[in-house]
Amino acid sequence: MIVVTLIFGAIATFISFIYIEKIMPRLICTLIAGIILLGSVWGVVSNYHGHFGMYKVTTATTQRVYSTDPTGKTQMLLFQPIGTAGKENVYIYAKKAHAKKTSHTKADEYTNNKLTRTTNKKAYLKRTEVRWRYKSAAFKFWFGIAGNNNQLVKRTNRFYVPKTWFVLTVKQAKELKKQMSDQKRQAELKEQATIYVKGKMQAAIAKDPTLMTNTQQQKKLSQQFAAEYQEKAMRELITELK
Amino acid sequence: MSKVKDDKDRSYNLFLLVAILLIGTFCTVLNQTILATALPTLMKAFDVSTSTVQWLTTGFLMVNGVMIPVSAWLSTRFNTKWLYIVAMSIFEVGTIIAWTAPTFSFLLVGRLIQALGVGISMPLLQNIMLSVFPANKRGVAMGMAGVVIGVAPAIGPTLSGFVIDTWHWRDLFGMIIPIVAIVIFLSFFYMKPVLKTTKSALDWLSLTLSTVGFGSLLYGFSSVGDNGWTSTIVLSTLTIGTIVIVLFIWRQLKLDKPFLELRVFSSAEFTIATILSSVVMVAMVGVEMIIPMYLQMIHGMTAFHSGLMLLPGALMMAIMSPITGKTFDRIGARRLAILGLFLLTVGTLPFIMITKQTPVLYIILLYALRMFGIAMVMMPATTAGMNALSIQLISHGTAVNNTVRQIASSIGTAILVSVLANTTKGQMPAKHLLHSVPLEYKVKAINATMTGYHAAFWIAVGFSVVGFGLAFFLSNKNKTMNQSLKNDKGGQA
Repeated sequence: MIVVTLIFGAIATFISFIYIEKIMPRLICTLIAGIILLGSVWGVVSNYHGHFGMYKVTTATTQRVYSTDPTGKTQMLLFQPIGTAGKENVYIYAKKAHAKKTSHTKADEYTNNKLTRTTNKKAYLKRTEVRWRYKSAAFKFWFGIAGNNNQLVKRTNRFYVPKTWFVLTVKQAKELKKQMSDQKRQAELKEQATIYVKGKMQAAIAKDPTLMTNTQQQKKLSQQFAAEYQEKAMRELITELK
Repeated sequence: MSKVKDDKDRSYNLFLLVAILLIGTFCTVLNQTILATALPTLMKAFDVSTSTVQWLTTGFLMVNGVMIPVSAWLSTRFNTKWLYIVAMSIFEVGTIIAWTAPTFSFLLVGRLIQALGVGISMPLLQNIMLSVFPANKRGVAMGMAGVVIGVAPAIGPTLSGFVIDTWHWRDLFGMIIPIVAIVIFLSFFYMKPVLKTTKSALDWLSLTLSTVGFGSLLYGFSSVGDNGWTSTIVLSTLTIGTIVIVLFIWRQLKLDKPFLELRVFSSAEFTIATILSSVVMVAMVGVEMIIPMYLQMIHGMTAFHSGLMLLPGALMMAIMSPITGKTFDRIGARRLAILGLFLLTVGTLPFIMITKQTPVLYIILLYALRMFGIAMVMMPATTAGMNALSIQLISHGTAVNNTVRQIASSIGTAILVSVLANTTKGQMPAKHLLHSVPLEYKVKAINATMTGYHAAFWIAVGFSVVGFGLAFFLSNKNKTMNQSLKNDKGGQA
């Protein structure tokens, strides 16, 4: 609507000031048309400069996020540092479990990312957005055509990540994958794992001799030990990578 | 000189003559800005640097500007019909060379030859329009000329963006060739020697002084953007230019039959009108250049897209120019100019509060409002100035007016660009932030650029306000010094 009044005001000012011959009607009409024009220009300026007719709306959404490892074996959240200072990062996560496609946070001047470690088992992303919105339908009617409704002011992505998760840079993750798929390293790890599980198992049996006969319980424990080792080895590897 | 007017089919002839003139000149003036968005493509095509490729526009504008003062002598010396045909043929040759250019040098040579033609055709159009129409219809006539002079440069960037995206850069030149060929062909039949000529000798010294003086001034001002005001190249060319121009002026005032009649300035009306149209030119050209930069840097638009945003404003000018011309014939320039500059000021003020998120629609709208105002001033003021001169002085008046306007717009552009660049530079964040915290750097850099734009727009507001003040000095009546020319033209309807 503001577009219509501005155009109308401009044309009306032109017609009244130029084509009305008699002085008094000319001045009166020019004054009225001029006020419409100036009012419209004032409206436009205060709309884009001071967000006239708008107010800030804060919305928060929380979603569960999953590991970027499609196999789901390793629980990890990735990030890509943008600058060398490490203050600005883009976080990469999966929206579904075992998802091949990952999502990432926006790298723009409006977005701010934060990371909190929790004792929770699951990882979450809480996205808080502050946007300009028109105060009323009337204001939207007047200025909505400019397309600035819901204009973004600030966006904060806060990741709540379990302490057990790995938070790695993309480079680290790649290196990790490379190391883990290395034949020699794999064989080595397997060997080490067997030794580790064996040792643990012996210790467990020494503690509780009834285990000797309980094969079911043994199997369960050996799986647990294997996983334990896996994580330990991974942590070692990651500290190496850093 | 009266051939156009003496036959029964007079209006028919006049219509075709004007159509040929307008179409032909439109093609030539279009070339002032047609490479604006094509330069990156040409850099790739010929593997040349930015500063080299710029010569295609800088060199063009220099030759163009240098030719304008010469056009006064040419149009009072040579038969108008042949002068127009020769100018258009020179332009055609240049265009063909540019179209087929196998190397960058050929392209540049083609462009410079084109510029020779434009430098003659543009003032010639105004001369002819002022001469073939009776004094009380000059407003409309100049309004039509305004469509060509004001609109062609404005649509150049958009058109070239479109052509390059769709076809090939050679088509920028290729598409003009057949049109100009038809114009030249038709000129043999319908163009008439409408301007009075005398066999005056060319003062070679004046020609040299004018060429060197205006050439180095134009070069100096166009180098400000790249090198800054204090660089040796800018200071030396500006100094040389100024000294040579002073010598040129001194010589013109001494000569009996000067190369360029500067005594046109003895008419106060002409002087004010010339200053006014120059101020408006600065306000127009400067902002015409800065807004696309803003749209590209802040809103991330392509060159073509940003050019497209200016199109409604250019169309506004095309529609309004004949209307204000007609109005001028009735009420004179004063009221039009006062309102026009008021609207220009109102349309420019919002730009000093522009933000990085200002909706593009508002930019288009306010830009169109500015053009609405400019259309009320530019041609009416020029016509008012011309009307204050006698018919013999019109070619000189046009040449002087165009030269001053050309120099003024190059000064204005230089000021705006350097204010933009310096303010931005002063506010720019430390370079090392670009690597350590690039997003923070981006925010700070955008803020710095916005401060630069605000400063540049303040200058544009300044020019608008000065123009608004000057408009009150225009005389109220549309007085024509040369009503007598009606007799000269024979039967007036």
